[in-house]
Amino acid sequence: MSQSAEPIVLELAPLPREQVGPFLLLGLDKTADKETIDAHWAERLKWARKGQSKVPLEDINWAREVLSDIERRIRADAASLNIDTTDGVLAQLAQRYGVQEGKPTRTWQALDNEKTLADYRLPAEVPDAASVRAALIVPKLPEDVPAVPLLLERLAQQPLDPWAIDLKG
Amino acid sequence: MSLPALPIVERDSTRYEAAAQLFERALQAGCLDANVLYMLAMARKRQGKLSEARNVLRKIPQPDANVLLQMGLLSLQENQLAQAEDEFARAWQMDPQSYEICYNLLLTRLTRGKIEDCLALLPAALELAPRHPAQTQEDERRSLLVLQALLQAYHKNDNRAPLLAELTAADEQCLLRTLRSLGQLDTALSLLKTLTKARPRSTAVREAYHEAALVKAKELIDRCAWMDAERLLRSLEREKNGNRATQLVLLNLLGCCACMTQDFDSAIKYFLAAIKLAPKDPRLHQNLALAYELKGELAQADPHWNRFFDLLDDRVPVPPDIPHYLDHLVYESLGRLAARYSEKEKWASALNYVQRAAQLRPNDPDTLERLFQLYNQAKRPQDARRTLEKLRQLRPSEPQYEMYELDLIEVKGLDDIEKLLTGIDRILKRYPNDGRVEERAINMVGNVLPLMGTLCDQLTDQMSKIIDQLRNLPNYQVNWSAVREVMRDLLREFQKLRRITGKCLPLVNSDEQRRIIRDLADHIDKKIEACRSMGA
Repeated sequence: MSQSAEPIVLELAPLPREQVGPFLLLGLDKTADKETIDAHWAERLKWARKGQSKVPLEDINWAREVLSDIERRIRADAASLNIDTTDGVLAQLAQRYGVQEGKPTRTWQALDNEKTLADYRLPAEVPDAASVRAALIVPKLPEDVPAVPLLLERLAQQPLDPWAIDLKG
Repeated sequence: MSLPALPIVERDSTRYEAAAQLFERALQAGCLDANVLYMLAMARKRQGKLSEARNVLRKIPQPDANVLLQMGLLSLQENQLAQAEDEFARAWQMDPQSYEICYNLLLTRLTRGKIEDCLALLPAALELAPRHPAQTQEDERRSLLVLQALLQAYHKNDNRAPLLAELTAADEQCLLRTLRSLGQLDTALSLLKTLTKARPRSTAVREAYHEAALVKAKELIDRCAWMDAERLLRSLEREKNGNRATQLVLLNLLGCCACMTQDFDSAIKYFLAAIKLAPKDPRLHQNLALAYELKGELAQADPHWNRFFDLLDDRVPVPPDIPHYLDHLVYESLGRLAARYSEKEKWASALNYVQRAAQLRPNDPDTLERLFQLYNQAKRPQDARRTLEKLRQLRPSEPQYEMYELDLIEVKGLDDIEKLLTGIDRILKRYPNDGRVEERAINMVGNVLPLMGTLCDQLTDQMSKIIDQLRNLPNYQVNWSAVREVMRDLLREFQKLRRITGKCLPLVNSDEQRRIIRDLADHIDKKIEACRSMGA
């Protein structure tokens, strides 16, 4: 005999999918549009594949199939329970708690602090001037132009008349 | 706890697009300035191009606290809470003086249900809060203190928190707003439970807890976890709540869960209680009617279906992409109910619903066909004939309707069967390649086979009685001329039956039906032989 005070709850075989209805199987309101139906279907497929849902894969596909056909959808509405009231009180409550389209989403406002760009300086790595200078390598003059040093030497040896320089030109 | 946040997306994003294009050209030209990357990311963020903004921010070689804050905000916007927490935490390590970073990290951790981490962060948040230049700094600090008290009470499982007991209405509202904004039902529900224990007299807190529990139950129902949802809802049922709207939702959800766990009596009880609170809610009447149906009490469901039809009006929300939804819903519901009653062979009730459906769509052939069938079942041939006339006007060239005409023949004896089979044969010859006519013909023949067997048995019984009498009477007492007369009559009947079996054979398509007909024919042949031997 079990020592637990909790009563043993026996789980009956689930109702047939026609009696549960496609809306409950996909967790949809009866007003859901096509986009929402597809989104809920895709989400439940994931759950079923990961073993996070008791609903069989074929029932999930069946539910989407029914809801994709307008006539079958309306017939399913007639035969399915309503989770919410006509006034949509539950939907309003869900919205108050950030649940949108069946998914809870945080609604608190985060604090932003975009810096004023004029004063803002992102940290950037400034290289050391000496190491930059050391890293510079002056190329050697090529040997195939031997006349250049001679011409430069002659130019340097010419007398310079400062008054002959035409500044305007 | 309500400091203004800068908008992530701005309505007029054209100038941001122009700016972004300029920055991108600069980058393409070889500019490696981190500021350009940052400004491009901000432009993209303001355009709502979150992934592009993130990609640009990632290119910044040495991200500082502000860059990480921006990345965290983008993650939050994308609902990537773990990533946001990681980025805020890194930003917080770099800049422990930033209230924005601290606040975002705190709320992200709270949303993720990391109460201990929040408690560790709260002293720093409290220290930074007064330095924040917002006008509401006192409120901000007070809100954080209240939150800290609640988290401590929850963490220690101790409801005797003096600060929580002394909350003003404004404090309470602010705290409830924060908890509702978490978007994490489990965390909100746990904290609200602690708060209800700390403030047992607060109606607002109790209502908030009830609301959160109802939303959580809905989440469980959406996952078809009926029993878990029911368990949660039953705990609410024990705690009486004065709010009519939440009480109504609670009763309805309990009813739905009870239906799904096949406790139909409880479901009916809950739906009845819900209807007492909202007698004019059509969807509640529909739920109650369905619960009665699931229990197998169709008659009890009837008045609630009628109420459902009466109450359906503009208040009822409908899918946006299906025009005239409610009209279709009423029509399909009537058709469904007719089918349910037909299954139970309650023809009068079924007929009533189809008549109502026909009033909604007087020229719908499908509805009129069902009406015809039900008139026929209810033995109302005049109404059936009138309906058939209307059908013929709507679809003059429909061959099926000729078969319907044959449905009106009341088959009682061999002559009726012969008339029916002759009619079927005639229609099949007129429409030789019509699959639907053929199918219906096969069904009709299949339906008369049992009657033929019964008639054959009756004739055989008569014959057996005569033979028994002949065996028991001395020869001189037998009126042989009368015997021959009776045998001649029986022979005629058997021959007629034999002719009918011959007509049936080409009209059936299953081997089983063929076997039945052949056995019957063999039996009749033997009886014909016996009749002849008796002088017929």
